[in-house]
Amino acid sequence: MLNMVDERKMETRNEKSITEIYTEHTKTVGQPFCENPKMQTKNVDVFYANNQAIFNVSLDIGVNEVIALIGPSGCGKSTFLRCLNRMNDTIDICKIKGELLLDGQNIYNKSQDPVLLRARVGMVFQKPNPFPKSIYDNIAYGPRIHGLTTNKAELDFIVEDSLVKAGLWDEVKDRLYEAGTGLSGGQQQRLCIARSIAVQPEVILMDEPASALDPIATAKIEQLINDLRKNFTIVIVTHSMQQAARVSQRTAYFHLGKLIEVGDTNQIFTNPQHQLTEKYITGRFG
Amino acid sequence: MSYLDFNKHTSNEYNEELEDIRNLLLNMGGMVEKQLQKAMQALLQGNIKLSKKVVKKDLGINAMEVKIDEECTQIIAKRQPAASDLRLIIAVIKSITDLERIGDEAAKIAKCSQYLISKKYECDYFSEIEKLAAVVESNLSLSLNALARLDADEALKVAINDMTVDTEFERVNKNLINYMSTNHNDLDKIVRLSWAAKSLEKIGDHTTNICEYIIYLVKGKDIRHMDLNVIKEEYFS
Repeated sequence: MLNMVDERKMETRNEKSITEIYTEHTKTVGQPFCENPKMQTKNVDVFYANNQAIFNVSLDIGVNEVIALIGPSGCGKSTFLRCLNRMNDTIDICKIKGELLLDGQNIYNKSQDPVLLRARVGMVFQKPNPFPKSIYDNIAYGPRIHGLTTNKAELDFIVEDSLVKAGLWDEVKDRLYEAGTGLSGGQQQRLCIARSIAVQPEVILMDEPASALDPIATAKIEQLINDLRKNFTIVIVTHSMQQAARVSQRTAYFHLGKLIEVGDTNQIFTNPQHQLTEKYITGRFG
Repeated sequence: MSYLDFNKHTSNEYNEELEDIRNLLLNMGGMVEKQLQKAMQALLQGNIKLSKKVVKKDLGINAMEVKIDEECTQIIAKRQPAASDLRLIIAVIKSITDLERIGDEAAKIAKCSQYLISKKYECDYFSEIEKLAAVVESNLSLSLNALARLDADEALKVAINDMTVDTEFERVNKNLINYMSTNHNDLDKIVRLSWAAKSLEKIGDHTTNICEYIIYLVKGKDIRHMDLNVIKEEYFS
């Protein structure tokens, strides 16, 4: 019977190597642009000294969308994410070319205060990093330094509101003055999300926010991302294909610094247009 | 999309699992194809023994469907397949349903032949059904080749060729109805012949479904319920 099966098959494919496909790639496939962008990047190149980490990336990030950046380690997705709120400014050898716009304004203009930019474009990191302060003070820190409140009642409201939005209020309302570092990993990450939304950002950048968490804490973060989308624009870097598929509306695939393909998440995970995307999400990179 | 290759995963075990269900699917296809050939042979040659074999063997095809379904479920649970892998699993799950039904139709043809053989019935219309069966068998065989070779162009050709099956069936059916009006004593036998023809027509439809899943697998486009000429224009030009 197997012979009959083999007879039916015709194994004559001549496949190109990943390097060949990558070298031939010149233009992002799919829909890198959208109608209502909150942020736009135009022909962005990023260099670390003489090494180019990002090549000519043009990508729109739509209002109130969750866009997932995926790709193998070293593909530049975190570097790209960090450009979006000028976190790379702290790296001396990092040079950025091209335009990065927030509501049409170039965020790399000399007149742009990076601290104010980071209040508008917040960030949540892979490892929860609460301040060594109380839960209350972790949340209150940002509003205080940005002068968002004039009295204690307003600050109390912001703390409660942020913790409610981060889905943490019920778990911590009776111990607001205990150390934030005493919470579990998942709670600490939600505390960091609450801290970032306390300053009312417009965009939240998340760099593998659930990679250090167990499946239950991960599910809570994913639910939270879905809830936050109503009020914020979210850019998430993740190594979990399933997570990208679950939480995002659009997905962008990076490979060795090039933006290979951008598309509707449903389409990317069922019918990607580029061979490299297909190979990556199906686990064919050996 | 010539880059559909299910043997290039980082995990060799995953390669083997996907290859395994592809082989099982093609084995099941081969079994069903033989069932149809034997059912027709039994009908045309009046071979009661062979017709009984066909009916019995249908149980094996049913078991095969359950086995492949189970393997697909395991792969979904363990691997969470995406893109072409996901489309392969979906195409397999759907194709085996159609193959199982083709098996059922072959068994129905065998049962019709058992009745006709028991009545020692003969008439000119057997040869008409033979012609219809030739087109149906050829389409099924070509669709299974296309499935093995992931050949969307061939699948489309076979799907379009189902019109020939429908036309041939209409002709046979019309002739049988006319024949009934003049042979009232043989109505029970002619009805059995008509059922066999209807089973062949249904096998043609199931074959078309399989072709649609091949196109979905290879092109990533769900073309069900679409005009085949529009599909040709949009996805094959």
